[in-house]
Formats: sequence, C-alpha cells, structure tokens
Amino acid sequence: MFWTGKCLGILLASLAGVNLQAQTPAVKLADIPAVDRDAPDFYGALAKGSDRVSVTWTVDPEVVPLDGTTSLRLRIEPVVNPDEVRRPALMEMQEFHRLFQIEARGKERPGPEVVVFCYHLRPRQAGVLAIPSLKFRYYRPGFPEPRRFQTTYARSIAVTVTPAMKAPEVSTIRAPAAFFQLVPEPSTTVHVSPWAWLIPLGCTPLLALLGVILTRWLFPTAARRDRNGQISLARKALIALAQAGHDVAPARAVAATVIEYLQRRIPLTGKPRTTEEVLAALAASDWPEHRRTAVAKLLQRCDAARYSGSRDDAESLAAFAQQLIRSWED
Amino acid sequence: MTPLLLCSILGAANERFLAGLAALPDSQAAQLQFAAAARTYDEAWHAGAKEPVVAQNRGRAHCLAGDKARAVAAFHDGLALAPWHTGLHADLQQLRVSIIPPDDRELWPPSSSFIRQRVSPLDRLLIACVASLMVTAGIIARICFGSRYAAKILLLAGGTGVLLVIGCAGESWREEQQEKATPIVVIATPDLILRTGNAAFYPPRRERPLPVGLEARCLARRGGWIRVRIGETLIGWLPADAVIILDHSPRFSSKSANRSAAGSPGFATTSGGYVVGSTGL
Repeated sequence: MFWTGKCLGILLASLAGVNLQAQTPAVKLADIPAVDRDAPDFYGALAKGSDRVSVTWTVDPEVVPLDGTTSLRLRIEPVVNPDEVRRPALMEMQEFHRLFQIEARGKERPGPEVVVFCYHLRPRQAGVLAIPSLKFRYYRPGFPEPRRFQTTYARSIAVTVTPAMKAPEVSTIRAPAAFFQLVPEPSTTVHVSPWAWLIPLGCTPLLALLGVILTRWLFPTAARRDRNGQISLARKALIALAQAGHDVAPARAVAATVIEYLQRRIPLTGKPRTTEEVLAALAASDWPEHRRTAVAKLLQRCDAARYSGSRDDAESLAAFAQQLIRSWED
Repeated sequence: MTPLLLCSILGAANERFLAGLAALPDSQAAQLQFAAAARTYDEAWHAGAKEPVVAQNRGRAHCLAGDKARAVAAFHDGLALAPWHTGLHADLQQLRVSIIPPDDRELWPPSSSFIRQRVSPLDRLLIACVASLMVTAGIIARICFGSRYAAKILLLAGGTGVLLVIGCAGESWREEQQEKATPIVVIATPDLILRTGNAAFYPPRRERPLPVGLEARCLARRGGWIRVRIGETLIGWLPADAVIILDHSPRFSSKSANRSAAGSPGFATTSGGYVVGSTGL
C-alpha cells in the first residue's frame, strides 16, 4: 500500500512536471554540499527541474584498423550548467585503458543545454570491442531531497577493430635536420675560469705603479715638460701684464689677462667673465683658499679702478698681478 | 682515466655516430648504432670528457636513437658547463620544437637571461684586461704627462669596462644560484599526467598528457613525488620515478649526494648528477 502510494505520487509529480519545475528554485552547482560535489561518478551535471539527463556514446567511424584511431563522443543533455560539467577521465578507468589508448580532445556545445566531450581512441587489440558503459550521476533539483542524486548510464556500444591496414613500415628517424651530422671538435679549446676576470682588475694598481715607474724611467723629461708648460703660460701672462699699461682700458686688460691665465692654469669650469663668476669657479676648484682671496682682492681692485675711479693706476695693478703670478709659480 | 683513454673512447663514440649516419637507409640498424654511440658518449662524459662539443654530440646521438628525454638531459649537462655555448642552445631549441606541440605554448620553458647565454668567461676576461689597461694608461697620463683630458677619458672608459664586467659576473652568479635552487626535470615516461597533489588519486592539473622530453623545474619533493613548474605558470605534481632530475649543484656531485638521495625514498643518484626514480632510467 505504501509503495503503491509512493509510485502514484511520483507519477503525479512527473505528470505535473511543468508546474513542479516552475516551483523549483534555480539551483547552482555551488549550492550543493562540497562532499556531494566530489562524490564518485558525479561530474557536476545539474538536471533541468525534474527532467532526466541522458548520456550517450557515439563513435565515428565504427570500424577502425588496429593502427588507426576513432573519435568517441559523450553527449550529455539536457543540463542547465553545460559549462560546469567536468570531463570524465576515461584514460584513468581501467576498463577503458585496457582496450584503448585514449587521448582527451575538445569539448563541443551543439546546443544551449548540451555538452559533448570528445576523445580519440586507439585500439589495443583487433576484434569487436565494446566501449564500456559509463556510470553517470547527476543532480535533479525537482525531486525531494534524499533522491535528488540520480544515476544514469551511457550504454555500451561496439567498435569493430580490423587488423592493421598495412604492414608496419620501417620507422624513419624523426629528428631535427641539423642532428644528422657530427659536430667536429675545435682545434683549440680555451678553458677560462668564470672568475678569471678578477686577476686583471686586481693587478691594476700594481700595473699602474709599474707603468708610472717605467714611464718616468723611459721619459724622464715628461714631467719637466709639464712644468715647462706652466712656466710658459706664466711668462706669457707676465708679458701681457707688462703691456697692459698701453691699453685703452688698463684695469680691464689686467683683469682679462689674469682670468685667462687662471682659465688655462687650473682650469676653471665654464667660461667665467665677471669677478663673481671667477670667484665662484675658483671656489668649485681645488685652488687654495689664500690664493683665492688674493685673486678676489686683485679683481675687486680692477673693478674699482674701472667703475668707481679709485686711485689705483695701471702700473700698480699690473705690478700686483705680476707679484701674485710669480708667487704662485715659484 | 688517462687523456689517451678518454680520446680513444670519444673516437669510438664518433665512429659509431658516423656508422649510424652511414646506415640511415635502414633506420633500425642506424638507431642501434646511434644508441651505441650515445652509450659510449655517456661513458666518456662520466669519465671526465666534459666539453660542450661532447655534450652536443651526446645529445644528438640520444635523439637519433629515439630517446628525447636523455637528449634534453645531455644538452642541459653541457649548458651547465658552458651556458654561453650557442651550438647547445640551438640544438636544444630545435629539439624543443619537435617535443612541444605547437598549440601548447604554456609548456615552453622561460628563456634565460641574455648575459648568461652570450657572455663567456673569456669575453669577461678580455673586457677586464682592456679596462685594466685603460685605467693604467689614464693614471700614467695624469701622473707622468699631466694630461687631464686624456686621463679623464681613459679612466671613464676603463671604469665603465670594470662596471660592465662586475655586472655581468654578478648577473651570471645570481642566475646560477637560482637554477641550482630549482633543478631541471625532464619528463621521461609517455602519457604522464600532471596532478594537483602528490598522489595518483588527485585530479589532473591538465587533461592532456605531458610529452616525453619536456623540461620543468623541480620546486619541492615529497615522498616519491616532486612538485614542478612547467613553463611560466603551470605548477603540479609528478611521480619522481617518471622523470629525470638534473641536479648540477655540488651537493649532488659529491659524497653528500648519496646521503641526501638515500634520505628521500624513491630516489637514487647516478654518477652523472642525475637523480632518477627506482625504475633505473
């Protein structure tokens, strides 16, 4: 009596499927408890309300030579979440692996509620082989809670495997073309330690010292020549200062001569013209403090003679400048 | 082993390689010759004939004998010695093209730095010599001839050379340390599936099996499994007995190698620095 009532209930429920679907709230895969989602043979398929999900194999071609491959398709429909349905890993199922070498291929979506998984099968033996049936569990939200997980099967289908079409050919060696030649050994091989570069860098100070000693020994006049250059420069400056008295603007001539001398002697950065610029450039150089003070004094006296009519004449300015230069060069 | 004996082993390997080339019309006979050549090259390599050219011929012989995994391993053995060797890089690149399917770009290993691939220790030595001479000349010009301008130019050029050499060496050292921390792994078994955990029941990280000869980086080891990174981002677990682990760090080429290998089940160390599983690859 109980079973009759239950069957009747199910019958009525299936007859009123549309209404039942309408009343069933939309269920998502994430709503199912995790422990149920990871259950064996459940690949995440959700049925539409109380509709059944059908799972079918198709194989093309049905007759395949032993050394050939055939395409196997698993069609699952109708499901509300075709994108979430996971591919059954046939290659890990012993009953499949025993008969075929399996390679997973693409996934097709021929309709909005249909998903098709593709595989390539290479038979391991000749004869009529049965592609095993596949147990497939799915979630049917239109049913009462304890019976929502339903099981269906993809029915087994047969594949005829004929003997190999042709005798296996002598295999050709597949390798990049460059590999078919022997690399000749180089005539000379130089072995250098990865840290060998430290040797020349470490020897640089010693090398420089030896170089300086050797150069001084080979060119004893080189340092003197450098000193001679300075003396020549000073001599030219002294001559120019002596002739400054004949200039139209003697104070300007004295200042210009001293600035040019300093420019070549130190040398100064930039091209300073005014007193402030020269003093700034001198401050930036390594010219001694007392010499800078003397230069400042000379240039200020020149400026005073040029612009404020001080009592300094050409001779006194030139004499002061000559005295300074002589003191620096001695 | 004496140099004379090494030369004779290498000569025998070269002869077998050439015999394989001569027997190419009969592929099976040629492959047998190449396999024999590869074994002889292995023997010479482990006996001490560690030259980039030997590694190149060894890798080619393994590839022509049909063992792409060992070919990749041989090329990496050579590159561990001479990372700047262009011939080894070219061969490895060609082999990768034949191993990795064109539509599987995520399997491509990331390229190493330009400096390590191109600048050899000899180049660094030459640059250091030139830089040292320039600095010396600059100092002599300044002290002996008082020529400030020439001294400035020479010291600037020499200093740049020194900085360049130090930078190259530092970058090479840094990359070498990084490579030692994550040894190279070569897939040696067909139909190998990359998994999300260190057991066979974990789901696959990717559905397609990994091709034989594919390179990965070993990130960790647990039990008989290793955690690997393939390409830039693909990370998963592989059974240790299905791969060749190329560990060129000193700890695996010394006595401690046996201790560390013995400490982890499923590993054994060969004389070539390979760590392989119990299958005895």
